[in-house]
This record gives sequence, C-alpha cells and structure tokens, in this order.
Amino acid sequence: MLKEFYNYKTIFIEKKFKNHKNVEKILSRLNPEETIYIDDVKDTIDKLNSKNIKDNKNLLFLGGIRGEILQTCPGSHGHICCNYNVINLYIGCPLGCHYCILQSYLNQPFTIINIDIETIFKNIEEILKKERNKIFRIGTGELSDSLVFDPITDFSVDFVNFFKNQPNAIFELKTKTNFIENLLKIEAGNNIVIGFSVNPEETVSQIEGISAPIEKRIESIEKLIKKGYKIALHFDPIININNFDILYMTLIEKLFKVIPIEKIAWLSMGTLRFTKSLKNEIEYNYPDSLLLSDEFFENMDKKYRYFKPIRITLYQKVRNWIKKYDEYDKIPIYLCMESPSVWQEVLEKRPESGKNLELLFK
Amino acid sequence: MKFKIIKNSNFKILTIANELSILVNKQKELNPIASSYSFASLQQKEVVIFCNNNNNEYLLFIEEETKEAYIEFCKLLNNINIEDSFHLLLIAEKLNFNEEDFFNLFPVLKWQYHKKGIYYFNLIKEFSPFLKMLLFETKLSIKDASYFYQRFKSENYDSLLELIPENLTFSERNELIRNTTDYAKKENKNIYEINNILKNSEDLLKKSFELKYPFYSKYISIFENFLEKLKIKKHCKIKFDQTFEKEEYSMEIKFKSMDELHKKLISIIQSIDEYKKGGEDFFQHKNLFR
Repeated sequence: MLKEFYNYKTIFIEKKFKNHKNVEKILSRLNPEETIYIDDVKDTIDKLNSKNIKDNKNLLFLGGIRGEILQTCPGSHGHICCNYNVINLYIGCPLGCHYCILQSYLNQPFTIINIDIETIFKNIEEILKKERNKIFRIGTGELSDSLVFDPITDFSVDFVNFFKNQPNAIFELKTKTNFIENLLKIEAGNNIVIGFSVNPEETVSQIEGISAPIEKRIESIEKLIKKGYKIALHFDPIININNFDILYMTLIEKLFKVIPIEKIAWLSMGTLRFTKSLKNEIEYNYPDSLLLSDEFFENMDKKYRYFKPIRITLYQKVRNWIKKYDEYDKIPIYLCMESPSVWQEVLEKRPESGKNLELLFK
Repeated sequence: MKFKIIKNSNFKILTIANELSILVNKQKELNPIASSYSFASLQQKEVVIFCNNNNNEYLLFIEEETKEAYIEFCKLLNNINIEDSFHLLLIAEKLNFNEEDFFNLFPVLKWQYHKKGIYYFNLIKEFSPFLKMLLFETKLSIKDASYFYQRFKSENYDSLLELIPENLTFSERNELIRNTTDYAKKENKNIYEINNILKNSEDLLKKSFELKYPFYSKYISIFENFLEKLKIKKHCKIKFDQTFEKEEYSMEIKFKSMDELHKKLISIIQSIDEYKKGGEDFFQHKNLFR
C-alpha cells in the first residue's frame, strides 16, 4: 500500500499494545520485514540514537502518547500567536518538503504513531469539560501531516466523530495530501475543519516532496465541501519565487473557482521562515535549493525571515488577489508568526494579544 | 623493549604512508605519552600500528582488528586540526572503513557526526587544492566552503577565490563567499559573471552584501541619506533596528550641562523644522518602504 509513503522495514511495537485493534489494523496494511516488540518507545529510540542510526527513516514505532496530550503551539517570541492547541498524534512525516521544520526540530528520524487514541479522547474530553466557556482550536498537524497516515490508521474517522460532539472545540486536520477517502465516508460536523496548505504547482512539484499536486488538493477540497466540511486554507510558506505574481494569482483563481467563501473557516498566511539549524539541514539535504538565497534577516525570535518590506509586499499581493473574491472581507484571515506592525500593514488591524485573535475564529 | 600483543609474526612491513608519518612526527612533539609511533601497511587492507611509548613498550594492533586499531590509534593523537582529520579519514577510507566505521571514527577526530560527516569528507576530496588550502588554513569554514563549492563545482572557481583580499577576517571571508554564492544562485550567474562584477569593486565585502541584499541596501541608503539631510547627527545619535523590524527609534544626546542640552535640543528641533519644509518623514516605514 502506497510504498513511497510507508516503506517501513521494521516496526517496533510497545508490548502493552500488542493486541490493540489499531496495531492489528496497521500491521495488516503494511508489509514490514520484521516486527519487534519493545517495552518502551522512548528507551528504544534512545538506544538506536546512541548507535548512530540517525538517518534511518525506515523504522516505524507504534506506542502510546507521552507527556501532555494537548499542547499549545510553540508560537514565536515577539510575534503574534494564533493560540492553537496540538495533539502529537503522529511524529515524523514522509512527505519531504524542503522547508519542513521537522528536519531540525525532531531529534530522531523515525516515525511514531500514537495508537492509544482512547486515552487521548478521554483526556481531551476532561480538558474541554473543565472550561466550557473557552473555545479550543485543536489540530494534529504540528509534528506531521494530519492525514498522511490516514490510509493505514483511519484515525480521521475516530477524531472527527469524537470532536463533532465537543461543543467548545474546533478541530482541524491540516494536510498536503489528498487522503480524504475516510472523511467522505462519515458525516461532517460544524466544528470540523479540513485545512490545506497551498502553494503554486511549480513550488509543490519542486520542493514539496511526495505531497499531492495542487490540482489533487483542490479536487479534494471540492469533494469535502460537497460533503459539508468547512475548509481552511494555509498560504504557508509563501515563497518569493520567480514569476510570483502570475503563479500566485493563478493559484488563487483556481482555489476560489471551487471554494465558496462562506465555506472557508479561516485562511492563514505566513512567509518562509527558518531557524539556523533548519538552514543547515536544508543546505545539507538540498544543496541546490534556491530557498535560502534571498534577503533573509534573523529576527528577535531567532528565526530568519525575508526583509520586512519584502514580506509585506508578498502578503499584500496575496491579500489583494484574495480580496477580488472576498470583497467584504468575510474570510477570517490571520498571519502566522508575524509581528504586530506587519499585521497592521497587511490586514489593517493589530491584535495585541492572542485573546483578540481568538475572536477571529468565533 | 617488549611487544604487548602479537598475533601474527608473518607481517611484511611496507612503506609508511607519507601523510601519516608527517602526522606522527608532529605528534611526537605534542603527545608526551607516546614518544614515537610508526604505522605500516602490510597489504592493501591490513594495518599494523606500533606505538613506542616511554616505557619502551610496543603496542601492536593486528590484522583482525584493523579498524578498531586505527580508531584506537587516532585516539592517541592530540591537537589535530581539520587537515589532520581529513588525512586520517583518507587513510580510513583506504582501510575500507564502511559507513558505520566512519560514524565511530568521527567523534574521535572531532569531525561532523553521522552522514553529514561523510558528506563533508566526500566534498573536500573534490575541492581544488586552493580551496582545500583556504579550508585547512582556517580561512574558510567547512560549511561555507562546501556551500560555495556545491554551486560552482563545474567552473573554474579558484578565479573567484583569488579575488578575496588577504586582509579579511575569517568571518568576513565566509560572509563574502556566502553572499556571492547566494547571489549567483538567485540570479543564476556563473563565476565569470560574478568575477566581472566583483573585480573592479574597491570593497568586495560591501559589494557582495549589496548583491545579496539589494532591497535592504536600497532602503538603508535612503534612510542614511535622510539622516544626513536632517542634519541632527552632530547633536545626537539615532538608534534603530538595523533590519527595520521594529518601528521605534531612540535618540542619544551627550551633554555636560543643562545649557548644552538645551542648545542641542533647540538645534535638533530647528533642523527638523527646516527639513519638514520639503522633506519626507522616512522614520515612518510606510514612507521608507514605499
């Protein structure tokens, strides 16, 4: 099944989940050379790391979630955060986007699937019950693509069905794939959002690895809308490519041809940004990449971003092209990890805190 | 004189590799524990290391443990620089070190770990003698030299390296190399075109910065020009975020008395009033970045 996505030679399984239905399902859909039962995922990974097996991406771990189940998105110092909560359901991603932060963020190259979703649901339900007046935006797309493993886990079904019944949660599955078959089999909920990261096809085909071509993503969006889902669009990362105007204009035209604006739950924009360690990884993994050769400066959060007026110009262009289809500013738009002054320049508003930003999503 | 380990007495000792004997001789001075070493290759794959330490004891590492012996030998070396490490890796390669063996050797040589270590090692092997020299004499970092090489490997890149002034510091030289490489990548320029741009420039570092950061260079020039026209610089110092991320400015005024402060403030206000008659306020980003 989809060998390019799930080419695992060895699967390590925590013994306590040996007979878990999700383990059985995943194993039945993969064809590993060996399965090894282990006491603990973390201990095993530590041992493998100490043996220098740093670059082996063919190892899959099936285990239980560790630490806090609902975590706040790390955000960025000095920049406005959108108060997103994340569940690290999957850790590691096979898509291979050249700019992906996971290249430097994760201290191991292996993939981990947290199969104990019952515990996740139990914990989340308790958290949500405690603060019924607060709206929680929750997603699973922080340390992986939310849907890339769905063909082997079917977890989207469980998560959508769970969150549909949580009145104070808005749940987003964020993806660059077209793995939506499971979502089409179930009923959408008002508080379920399927987010798609979008970029011009030239960018997708050159630097977004094995993620779905933009046409496939748009087809998926169309099907999901027909099924009743709300959509989020993430213009992130916006990259200052050659022929920027024509390529982004074409992309926006294609998107808005099929997406009625009232079906868009929110739209985010973020220009390419990277840490020093990610820069090193990109240079090593993709030595011919043109991504880093632009005018970048290190900001106070230690992330490199395009020189401010370049960012503002890129945002304003995208914003204005979107505005052609959203004359009355009905789409909630936010900037990801941007400074208040850039917000002001681009969106003519300046949310001074995450609280103000929450209003966007109500 | 005694041998500590001898497992095979049928060794036929061949010539000591030249680069290693240089290293070994250097170590004699550096390492007080081992007063002399010799290193001999038996056949193509086999290695014997004799370490003659101060106790007149020979340690003999034999065929079956060649790779381990070599790593142990490397551990005995002190104060090795990048050139030494590179040569030791070349010898390891001749000893048929596989990927895992290299991974074990890298920490000993304080080399970049894991696959990146192999990546840099393979790149350096391909460097021109001149680029190698710059790297080994710590005039360029391994990262920036590799970045430069990756872009220009199919061209006569030494011609650009020869343009670099001797008086630049390590970080300035790296910055120049990186700026020009980024510019070449972004604008799709070859070495010949880059050389033509750089060769007539008086300040190569500044020129390379302007090539890499054309927008920034434009705006900082407008801003500095604006400060000149404001004519307040002789009374105060304007402090600002050099990348213009922050919108706020601050002003530093040095004075020794209230009168002097008063005088300077009046002069500043007069200069601003004078400028405002026809000049634009480039403190405001919306004007500066228009």
